[in-house]
Amino acid sequence: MTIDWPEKFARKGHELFLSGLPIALHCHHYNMNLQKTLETSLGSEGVLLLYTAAEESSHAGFTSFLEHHPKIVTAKSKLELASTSYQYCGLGIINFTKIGPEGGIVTSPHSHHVTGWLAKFGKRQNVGCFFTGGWVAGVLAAIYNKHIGYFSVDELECKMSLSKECVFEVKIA
Amino acid sequence: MSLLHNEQPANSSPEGWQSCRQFHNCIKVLCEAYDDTDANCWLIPKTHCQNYIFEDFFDKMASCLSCDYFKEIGAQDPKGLNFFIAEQLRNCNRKAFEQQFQKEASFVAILNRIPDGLFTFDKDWRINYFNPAAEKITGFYARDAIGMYCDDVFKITSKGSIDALRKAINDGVDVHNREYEIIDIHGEKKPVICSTSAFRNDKDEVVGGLEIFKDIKELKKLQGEVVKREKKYRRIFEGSHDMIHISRPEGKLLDVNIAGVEMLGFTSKEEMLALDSVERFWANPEDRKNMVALLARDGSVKDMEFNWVRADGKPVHVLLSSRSYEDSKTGEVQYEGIIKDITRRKEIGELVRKRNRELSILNSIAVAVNHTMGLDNILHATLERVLNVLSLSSGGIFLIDRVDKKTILGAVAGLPWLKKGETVELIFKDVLLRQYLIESNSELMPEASFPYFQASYKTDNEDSLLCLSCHLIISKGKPVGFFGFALPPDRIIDYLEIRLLGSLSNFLGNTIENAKMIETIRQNRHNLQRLNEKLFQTQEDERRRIARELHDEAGQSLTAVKLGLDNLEQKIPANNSAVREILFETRKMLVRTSSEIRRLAYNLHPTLLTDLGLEPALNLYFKDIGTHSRLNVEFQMVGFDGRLEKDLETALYRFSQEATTNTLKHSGAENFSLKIIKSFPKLIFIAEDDGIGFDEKDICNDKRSLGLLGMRERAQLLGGTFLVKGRPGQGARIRIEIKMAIDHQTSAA
Repeated sequence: MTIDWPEKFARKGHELFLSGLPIALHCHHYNMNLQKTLETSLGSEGVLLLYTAAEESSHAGFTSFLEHHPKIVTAKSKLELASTSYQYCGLGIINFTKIGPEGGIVTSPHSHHVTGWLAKFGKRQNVGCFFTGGWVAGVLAAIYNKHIGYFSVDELECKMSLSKECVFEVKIA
Repeated sequence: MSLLHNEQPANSSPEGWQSCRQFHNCIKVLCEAYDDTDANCWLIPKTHCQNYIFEDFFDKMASCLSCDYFKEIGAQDPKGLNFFIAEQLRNCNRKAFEQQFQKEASFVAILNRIPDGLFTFDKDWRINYFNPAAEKITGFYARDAIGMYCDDVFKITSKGSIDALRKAINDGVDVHNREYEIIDIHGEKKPVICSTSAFRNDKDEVVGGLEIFKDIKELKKLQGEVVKREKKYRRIFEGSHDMIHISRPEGKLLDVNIAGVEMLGFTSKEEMLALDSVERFWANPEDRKNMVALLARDGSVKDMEFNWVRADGKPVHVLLSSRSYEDSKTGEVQYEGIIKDITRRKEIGELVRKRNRELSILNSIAVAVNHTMGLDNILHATLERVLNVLSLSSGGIFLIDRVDKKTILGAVAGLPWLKKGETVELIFKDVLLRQYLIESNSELMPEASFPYFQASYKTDNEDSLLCLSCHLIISKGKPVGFFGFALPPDRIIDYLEIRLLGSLSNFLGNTIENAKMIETIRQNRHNLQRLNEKLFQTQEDERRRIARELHDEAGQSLTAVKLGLDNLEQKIPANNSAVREILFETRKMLVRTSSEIRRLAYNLHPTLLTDLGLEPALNLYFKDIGTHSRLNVEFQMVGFDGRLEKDLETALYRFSQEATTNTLKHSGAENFSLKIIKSFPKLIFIAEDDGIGFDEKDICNDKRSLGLLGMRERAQLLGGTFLVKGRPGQGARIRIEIKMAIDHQTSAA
């Protein structure tokens, strides 16, 4: 499938837009320092903040994206698009092969956040891909035409703690 | 269709092959047809050969295209010659790739087995290969590390270092064996040694690189340990209070610590190391030769004592331990060792030895004094030991009599013309000292030892004087005597001997005083015993005299009065009843008085004791006790077949009286037992009651104690022992044992 990315990261001044939505691109150092700061200062609330922010932005972005591509109608196509979009944004590789409207398992063998964390802070003792979890919840809600918060995503295994891949369990909240 | 392993056509021309071979002239050809004229044509390109698929392939292919045989074979392909040629090319490419992959796989397998960490990176410094050793060192999995920047995986703690590394690589300089500290994925710092090389293209542009690194944590740890031990060794070496040295067998000093420099009186280590040999330190060079021989034989010597000489010539006594070893760098045999200055220790040891000798002498004298309480024996034993210790043959102990202002010889050995116990007319060299010591009554302040003085006495020849070295004997600040030694001409008494005599004099002075006091006490005791004996004898004599007076005089007078009353009664008229009544009462009073006097006289001295002996007297006494009290008396005399000596009988009678009286007065006993047993050579007196008893601690405060004291005195006068025992509620028991002499028992029955 060939995707015509709208505006192709059209640069307007110093602003970037994706599917008509302004976005900010940060390097892994920035993202990891941000996550570290939120976790250290706010604890579980900081984690929730990361998760919900990612969920909201991915839900809004992907909903807008789908609106721009009305020909993409099947859930399988949408999931493939989401996976490609994740990779295209430089967030890593994500597989939606075991997912359905009721939830399922999502895996990520490569992740921008994992690489960043390992490079910056080394091994974690617990799971740490909160952004990815939120992003998956938002995208799936958009794909299955649900509201934000419909799905809850828990990370079962994480490459930040040196697992082979990141494994997310998606359930209906 | 492929030419590989195809059969050569039978009609092929060998000449044509030969020309082709000559044309190519390739010695690397591994074609199956090579050097085999009977085999298929080898001019087929190497595409059908094993290996060597690249070299000259296209040249040879061009040659083959001009080869008739090749064309003939190719034309036989069902798809035509062009397809045949294309198939040869495809086979070539396939084999080339297979070989390429095989080579790469081999390289990767080799790299994976390298024990050092290794990774490669591209021109952007992104990792594209990461071996297992690198995984182990950094903690990153290869799957994660590949694609990451070098900085993010190989995290060098100093930022400047990685920049320098990048700069060096970009400048075309490879970095070899440089040490860094990295932080692994667990946050742990690890020292590594690292070499980095750049991959360059034909234009000499950096297209990537290779990083090989090794975890040197253990190595660093060992290096740190070595440095620490080196420092520790150096600290011990320089901080030691003993000399530590390294030298060659011939004597050249290689190293020495400050303690060694100071011990041997040098001003600096350099001055000492400049010496040609250490032999000059040895008071006896033979000692060093012996030590070198021992080191050559045994490899080490331990705690050997030697006399050395300092730089200033002063002697120093050393304790040496050393070993020989082979220098690991030069292979040269060297000695290393510790040398301890024990000069002071030796001096102290000698002092202690002398002190021990002194204590030993004092102890032996104390032992002798304890065993011989007589003053003469004490003085004799002391003099004998002192002369022995001082290795002298003649001397004496002179006692000062400050009352008569004279000196008496208490003990003597080897001094001519002097006898023990006699007054000695000593001539003091210092006349004032004589007056001070003997004639005045002044006291001396306590001192550990007093200076010796000289005195002499006249021998047989009036003009000849024997000089004595005298050492005062003091007790409680007063001179009680002095040692006087006749010294040989070359003999002097050193300060240690003077101190010894001082200690001994203080000790002996008190001993002499104690002995004198004991003698006085003994004499007083003897006098007291004699006095007691006299007292008891006088008491008995007086009792006996009073008893006799009472019996003979007062008794006779009362008898005469009674006879007078009888005459008077006969002359009184019978009807004068009033007078007769008075006479009757008077007679009754007279009889009672007479009876009292008789009993009093008997108690003072029982005539029965004198006349019939102890047993009848005591039988009568206890019969009388039984009459006047409720006390049950059991009396036994065992083993007697005759009378005892009069004094002994009297004493036993008095013991019995006192014991019975005590029981009656104080014990409240119901039963009283008295046994007198003759068990030669002892006579045993045992008195027991079942009364209230007493506490032995209170016996001195008890009223009975005076009576008991009298019994003890009487027993001791008879050479016997007196023992009294009692416990509250358990009665009392008196046991007296008297040694019997044969003459204690009279032959008279």
